[in-house]
Amino acid sequence: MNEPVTTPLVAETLREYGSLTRDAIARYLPSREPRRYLYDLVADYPQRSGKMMRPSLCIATARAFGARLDDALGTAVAIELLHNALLIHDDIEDESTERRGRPTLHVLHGVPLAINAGDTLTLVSLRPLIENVNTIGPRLAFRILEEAEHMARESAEGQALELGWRRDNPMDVDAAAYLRMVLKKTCWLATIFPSRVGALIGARGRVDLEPFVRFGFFVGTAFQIQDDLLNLVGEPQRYGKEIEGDLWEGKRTLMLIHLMRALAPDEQARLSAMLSCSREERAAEQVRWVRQQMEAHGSIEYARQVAHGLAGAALHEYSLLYGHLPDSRDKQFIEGLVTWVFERT
Amino acid sequence: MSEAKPIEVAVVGGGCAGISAAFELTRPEHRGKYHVTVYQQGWRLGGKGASGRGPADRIEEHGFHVWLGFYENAFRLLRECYAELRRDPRECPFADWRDAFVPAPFVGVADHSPDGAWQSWMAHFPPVGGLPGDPLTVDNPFSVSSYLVRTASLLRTLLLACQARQGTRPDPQAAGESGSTDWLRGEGRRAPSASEITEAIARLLKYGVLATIAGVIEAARLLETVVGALARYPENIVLRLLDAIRTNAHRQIDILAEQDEEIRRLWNVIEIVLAGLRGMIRFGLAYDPRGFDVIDEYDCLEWLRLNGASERALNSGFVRGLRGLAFAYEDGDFQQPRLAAGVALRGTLRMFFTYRGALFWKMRAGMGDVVFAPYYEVLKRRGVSFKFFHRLANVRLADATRLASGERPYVEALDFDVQAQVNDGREYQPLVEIHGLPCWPAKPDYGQLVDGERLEREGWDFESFWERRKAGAKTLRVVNDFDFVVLAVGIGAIPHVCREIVARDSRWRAMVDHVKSVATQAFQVWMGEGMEELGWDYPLGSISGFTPPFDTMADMRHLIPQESWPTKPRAIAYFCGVLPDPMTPPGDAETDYPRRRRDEVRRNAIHFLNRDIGHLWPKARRGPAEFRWELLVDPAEQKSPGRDSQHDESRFESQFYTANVNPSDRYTLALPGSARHRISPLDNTYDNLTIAGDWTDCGYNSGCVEAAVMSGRLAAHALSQFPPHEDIIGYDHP
Amino acid sequence: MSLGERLRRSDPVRTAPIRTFSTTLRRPESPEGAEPGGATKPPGGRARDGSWSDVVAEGVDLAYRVIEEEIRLGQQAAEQLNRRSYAMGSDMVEAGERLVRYSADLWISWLEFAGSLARNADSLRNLSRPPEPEPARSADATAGATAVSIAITSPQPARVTLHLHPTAEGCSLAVRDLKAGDPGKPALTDVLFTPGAGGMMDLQIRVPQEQPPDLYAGLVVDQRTGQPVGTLSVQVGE
Repeated sequence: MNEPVTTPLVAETLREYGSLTRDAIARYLPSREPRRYLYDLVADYPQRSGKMMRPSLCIATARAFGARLDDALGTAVAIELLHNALLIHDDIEDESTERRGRPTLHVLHGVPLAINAGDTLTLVSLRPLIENVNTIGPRLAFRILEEAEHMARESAEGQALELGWRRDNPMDVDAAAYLRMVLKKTCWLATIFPSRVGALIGARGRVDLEPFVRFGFFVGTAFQIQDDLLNLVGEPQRYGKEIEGDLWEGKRTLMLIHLMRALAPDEQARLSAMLSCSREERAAEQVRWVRQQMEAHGSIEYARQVAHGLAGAALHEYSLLYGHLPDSRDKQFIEGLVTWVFERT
Repeated sequence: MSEAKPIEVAVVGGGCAGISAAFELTRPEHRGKYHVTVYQQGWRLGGKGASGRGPADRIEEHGFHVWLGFYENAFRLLRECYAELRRDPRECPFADWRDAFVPAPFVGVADHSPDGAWQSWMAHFPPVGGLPGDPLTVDNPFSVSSYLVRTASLLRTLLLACQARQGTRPDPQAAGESGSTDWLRGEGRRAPSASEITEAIARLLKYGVLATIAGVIEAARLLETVVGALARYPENIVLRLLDAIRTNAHRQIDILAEQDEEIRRLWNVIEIVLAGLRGMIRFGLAYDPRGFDVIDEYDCLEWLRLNGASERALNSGFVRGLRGLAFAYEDGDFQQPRLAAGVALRGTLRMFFTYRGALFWKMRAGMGDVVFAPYYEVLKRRGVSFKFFHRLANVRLADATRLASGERPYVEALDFDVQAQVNDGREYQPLVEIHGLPCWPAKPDYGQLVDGERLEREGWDFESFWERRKAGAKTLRVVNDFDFVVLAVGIGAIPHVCREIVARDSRWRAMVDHVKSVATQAFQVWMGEGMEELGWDYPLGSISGFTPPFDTMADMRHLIPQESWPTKPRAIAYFCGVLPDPMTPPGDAETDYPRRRRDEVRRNAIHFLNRDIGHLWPKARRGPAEFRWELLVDPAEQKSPGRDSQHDESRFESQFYTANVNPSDRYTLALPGSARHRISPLDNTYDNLTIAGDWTDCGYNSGCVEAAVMSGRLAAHALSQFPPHEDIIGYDHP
Repeated sequence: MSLGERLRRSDPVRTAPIRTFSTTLRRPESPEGAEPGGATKPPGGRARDGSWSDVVAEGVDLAYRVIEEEIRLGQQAAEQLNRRSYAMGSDMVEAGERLVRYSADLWISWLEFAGSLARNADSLRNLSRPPEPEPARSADATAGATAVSIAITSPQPARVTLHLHPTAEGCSLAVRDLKAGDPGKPALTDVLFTPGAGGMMDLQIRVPQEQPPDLYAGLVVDQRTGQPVGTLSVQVGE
């Protein structure tokens, strides 16, 4: 059994900021009727334990740039709620059965109720951003809203790309296209937006936001690749989602893209045939074959190496971005996040 | 013999888990490497499995103890124990383990028919070759695909039973018309390809073959082949076949079921089987590395419902009986039945498909007499020390701030209450002999205890949590008094005795929050008329799924010869069920709490005998709401005949009844979502401590003897690397 | 024996049962993750000569190229949208316009919110001091203009639809570029409201020769407050 290498600072900070965010979230989750058909569903995902990386990054960046905790907490809540709302829709689109160790919302309640709950949760996540007007002033609040709108657009575009690939099953998705998709779909919500608005809050708007795109992209992509790797090789007891679910879905991961290039033509045809049928039509034997091929051609190792390389680039960007700031626990936390993405399970 | 000083192991708790650990650690193969001391509260070993001998030497148990035919570990160890004991058959009635156990093949459930009457539905489970505990012939025989094949085969059997009841003789030509499964019978029986299967299904549907029961049965045969090689076929094909079988079977059989109760019951079971098959395939249980744990977040009923079982089937006696067997009610609330689906599925498959000999095995005396007395004798011979009347009060951890760098936390000391002391510092002799059999008494032998008369007069209850009186205290320290600790107390006791660990360790906190237990109630009656006379037809039957709170009943007539009644009763019956917790839990100082609950059990039992038992024993009623109290046999009366005897419900006082409310007597539940909070005996967080019990992550995560024995063996492995994992049958199991 | 020499348990090989079905095909105690069914693995894994550092460097280079490109594209887009010719509140309008563009159901709520915030005049006034001077308001424009005269010049067939709220009455109207659903198509920029004679507003629309057929739409705003008061759309081509 692998013992995780302990970075206690990261884990502790996640726990601390996570718990603060969770407490604050409770204030925004409505507890009126209809409960059974709506508000219990709305509250479900936020109440399942998650890593709380996104809100923690927002709070830590804000504080590293000089803000108080209370200034950033509302935005952190909005980020986490928005993230959970997107998860509900993602799970439906991916036809996932499990989320954080429990059945997904649409499996528990059916797709229509789950979609409705996801939309409601989005609305709920706006409230703290509106209330920001009172805590950090209307000008900053409005800029954060703009940022959120930008992030929303990028996320929607990224999701559209991924869904489109799943529908049309292109065999020519290359690494660059994959990176662009991950940037939009994952990085904007997970790392870029939280750190940009955190910096806005901390520096009262006087900060160049462009370098955060680079930093967030590298960290977020390493995070996503690691997530995809865990789907194949993670410890089932701790992973919380269906192992090898991505293979069943035919999801374009870096491993699959590498494999597509590495296979001989007749094997490529076999892979293409498998990817072009729907999930119910796939047999376990085919999935096993893909997995074996990935191991044989080194696709898994490739992805692992690339992820580590991106983490290195992230650390470089980190020093450019945060280097001038006074030392603080929050600064160390952000730096520690880069390597933490590999240690979580 | 090893020259070095033996490693001192303190086993706290003398139930199935602790005893199994002790048995493993002191095997001759270890050559005395480990010296074990078993610390036990009160006067008898057994924990939840303890039993005693009361007036007329009658056996008094905590509840209904039956061993299932798949308890491979429990039987294996016990058989080794008996073999090592080598009792003289001329002196002792149970010299061989087969003398002590009797197969109980009649098992049944109580079904509530639409007109409100109760009916018992008994089934005879055929004996399967071999005996439990025999060496396994196949290397690790447990796999999901073999279970799938067996389940599909069972499906076919049940369908055949429906067909037989319908009166149609099975027509061997029927399915042959469409020629759909000819290739199944052909030469060179290779597994068909996916497209062949699709074709076969299409043909089955097209020619209306499934419009007859015979056709459905043929389709079920096809299913058997398919699930045996599941990896070859896309999921949707298999499910299509399954759904075709279901729809058509439903159509045929539902009509017949309206008129025939027996078919209705069969159909209920078929529905459950179909739902189980569907679920096993849909949830990919055959491929998931987590096996049946995958569905442990679901309640078993919820999961079956998700897979198409109807409410009617879920309320059938079959399902209620299975749940009753597992005491599967959270907080003892019958409105809240909860059992993790993965645990339920694993348990049901093991119970029905891997039993050896008989499905159930009953003991021919109390469990204490059959199991724990032999273990006690063997362990004593091996040099194990026993400290009775020692109740664990606290497990003390070493000061966290003083640990060396890289050192793990560990147990520094164990605090015990010494409940009583033995005269002259001697060792307590716990057993008494009855008809040549060493047994445990229902009360301690006060004569051996210091101040024994006073303790008896003052009614010190050594097994009660609320008994705070004690003779003294003792603290054991690491290095001086022990090297390793096996903590084998029940989960109910953990929050009380591991306060420090629970406070410091979030995993232990999560464990006590999620791995819950339930109190139970039980009573036993001895009667002057036999069961057949009372209207009960099944010899040695057990029935479950009956009216709460005593939803399980067992016919225990085989115990009569073991007891010492001047005039033998003609029947013995045991009843048990859950006992709901009160809204506010009792405080530690509420010394009369056990008595109050016991009174409650008496009232429940009287009410039950008046109102409900008539359904199973029609002739035991005097009127619609009155039990024939004169049936009960009173030991005091037999001792001094001629005294005035009551023939009303106060006669019940002479019987045995118990409220098992002590924390360590609570029965472990397997609630949905709780299994992942269990901790394994192998876990090495505290590097001189291991835990054992049916509440640990022992592979078969359910409250039963087998789980406890497995955990004890795992605890032994944790300390000594023996027995090897593959020796613990069923540990590696989906 | 001192506390330092106390006995410690040795670490277990594993602490959980093996539940995977492939247990039946291999000996227990072998490490998890071994291939079921005995598929042949290339010996020693797949570490190629030349090691992984080249691969990693390539990967990181590629990532840098991708991100620089994306940043550049983002800056261009920001510049295109970044024309501040109105008083404060115009940013809100722009945000609203963009939201109309790509509103999946999920994001329609943003538009509603944007509308409600836009109606909250107090907060808007605090947002910033407008750097530009307020546009001069002709006396004519205050005379309750409810009529609009539309003149459209287009080589292709074009249909104009103008919706105005009742609150548009008396407002001096303005509209910015009309954009198509497809961001690849150029916007209609030659669109202008001017105060006309007799209190009417004149709307002039000129559609260039090469304008791709599509529906081009935009918000009509009150020039003074920046609040949306209607929509204008031009259907070019069939």
